[in-house]
Amino acid sequence: MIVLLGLAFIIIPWLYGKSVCTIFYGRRKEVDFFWGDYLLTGWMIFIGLAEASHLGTMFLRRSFSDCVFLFEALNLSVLFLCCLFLFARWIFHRGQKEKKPVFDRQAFGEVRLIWIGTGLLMFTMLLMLWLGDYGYSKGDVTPETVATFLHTDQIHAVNPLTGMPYTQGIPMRLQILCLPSFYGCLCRIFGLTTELVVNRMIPTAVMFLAFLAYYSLAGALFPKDHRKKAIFLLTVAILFGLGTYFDNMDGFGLFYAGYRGLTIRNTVLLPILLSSFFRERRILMLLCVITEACMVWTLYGAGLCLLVGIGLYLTYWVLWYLYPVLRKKEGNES
Amino acid sequence: MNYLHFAYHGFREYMGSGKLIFFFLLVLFLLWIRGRWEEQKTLLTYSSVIFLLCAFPPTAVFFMLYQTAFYDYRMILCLVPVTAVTAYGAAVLLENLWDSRRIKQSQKIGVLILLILLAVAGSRFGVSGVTVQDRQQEKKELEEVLTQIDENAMIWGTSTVMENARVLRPDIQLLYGRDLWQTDLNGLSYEEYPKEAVECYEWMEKAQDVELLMQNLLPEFDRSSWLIRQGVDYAILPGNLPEETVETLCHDLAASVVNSGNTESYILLELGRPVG
Repeated sequence: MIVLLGLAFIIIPWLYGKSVCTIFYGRRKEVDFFWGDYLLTGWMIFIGLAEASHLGTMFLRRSFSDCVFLFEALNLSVLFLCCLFLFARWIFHRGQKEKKPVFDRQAFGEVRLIWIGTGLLMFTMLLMLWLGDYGYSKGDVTPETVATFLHTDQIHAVNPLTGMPYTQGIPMRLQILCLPSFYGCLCRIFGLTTELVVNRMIPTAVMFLAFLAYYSLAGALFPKDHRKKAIFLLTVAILFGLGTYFDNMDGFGLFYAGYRGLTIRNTVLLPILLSSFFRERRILMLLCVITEACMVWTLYGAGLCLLVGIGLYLTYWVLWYLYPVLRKKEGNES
Repeated sequence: MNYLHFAYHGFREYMGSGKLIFFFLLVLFLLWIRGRWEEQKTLLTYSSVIFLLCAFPPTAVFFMLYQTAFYDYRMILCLVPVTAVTAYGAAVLLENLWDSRRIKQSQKIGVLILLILLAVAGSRFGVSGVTVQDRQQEKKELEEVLTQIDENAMIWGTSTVMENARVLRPDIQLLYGRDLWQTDLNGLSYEEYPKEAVECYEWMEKAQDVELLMQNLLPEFDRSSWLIRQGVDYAILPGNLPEETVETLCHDLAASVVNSGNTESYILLELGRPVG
């Protein structure tokens, strides 16, 4: 079942992502999507579907089993539509040669040592997640909430910290967040324990996605420079390893609290947002903002992704106006 | 004013906590002075400006309020792409070094191995960081004790027990949750605990204090009748509690010691089942 869940983590989001990216960016001339971009986009849709099932069940006051059913039904429907779309597209474009990004074997070979080092480091980090039990529970109740949903078959009816009915209730801002339902659905569908899904499978997936997101960002920053891309990713891996000393560092979140919405936002969504900004993929930037609102308590949906996006555009526009003036001044002085 | 205070101290704490932020600043500085900023104008200008805005308390307060004012000051620093910019700087500044013919292949391998070892083993790179320990053994021992507890029972135990029991056995109920002592969790629910629950927690914390036990200074537990009234079925005490204290507790709580198997970390008492 662990292998099956691992495969589901790759195949389902990939199909979602491939379909969505093809719909929105299929007509672009430049081919700058790689399989990781599809996977990252697909994960955002995966989380979106979990949010839809969570909200539907919660507002209709139905049981958690209904939430699982809705999650399965939504995923199967979307999966069917995606397969149908991709199949139809393949039929229509069968004769045409698809533009694929050219893999520069020689450039890759020049820096293979760095890639090997990065791969080794990534593998060691993923292994470390499975060897120990280093969960950092301060300020978070996700594992207890998932276990409570599964046991009581209700959503937010019982205080997950004590197992007793709420006397004062829980704030709506937290009730609407979907991650506990998402993890609970995965536990129920694949018959796995809360511990295994929340403390092992999800952090592993998040760490893998974080590397993919940074690889995507490297591709956006250095489109044709393999050496810089390799050094960039190696540095990211080293920074993840070194940054486990403080609880708002990316490395700390990935190693000790990979299941938290904040970790996913900081290590996966923000790099995707940056990468999408540099590649002018505005729809993906919007998807990042929506995904954050599904997982992290934000100001009515306005989270950090939105603020970073606005900040980047403001900087871009200000520089666009100022930069020619500055260059002109510099030229006059010299 | 409170927020300004949090912003000021939060920034000082962040800067004093580790070295990665200095790598970020160093990279920014080098890219600016070596004129390499033009290659990624937007990223580097945004990073520099947002870092300054986060460091300046009044603007930091604005970001804190935007972040619903619930999150710590440190959380607003997620606006600064520390990892991305540091890695970008490393890629731009170290590229030529890697290409240099003066460095042999074997030396490159050596440097790579050193870097990997540093990343894997060098997690204590900070000064006043947060320590996270492996809880595998702790959970295993607790799981063993919890197997002896009936379904839907209510328990009272050490902070470790109260922290992990609900994930391992979601059917059991706890006298109080970890939100009683972890103030970060206060924003997650509106629940409040009576003062008796706080006293029970404080006594249990003292019961785990080895120094207090050595000096025989553990105060007498005087909340037995309240515990019974709350319907507590089991008490999970620290394994090193003196025998006399356990006997007194058994008498006051009308409890008996349950055979706790191989584990010596905990003493399991079943309430409402007096000895003899």
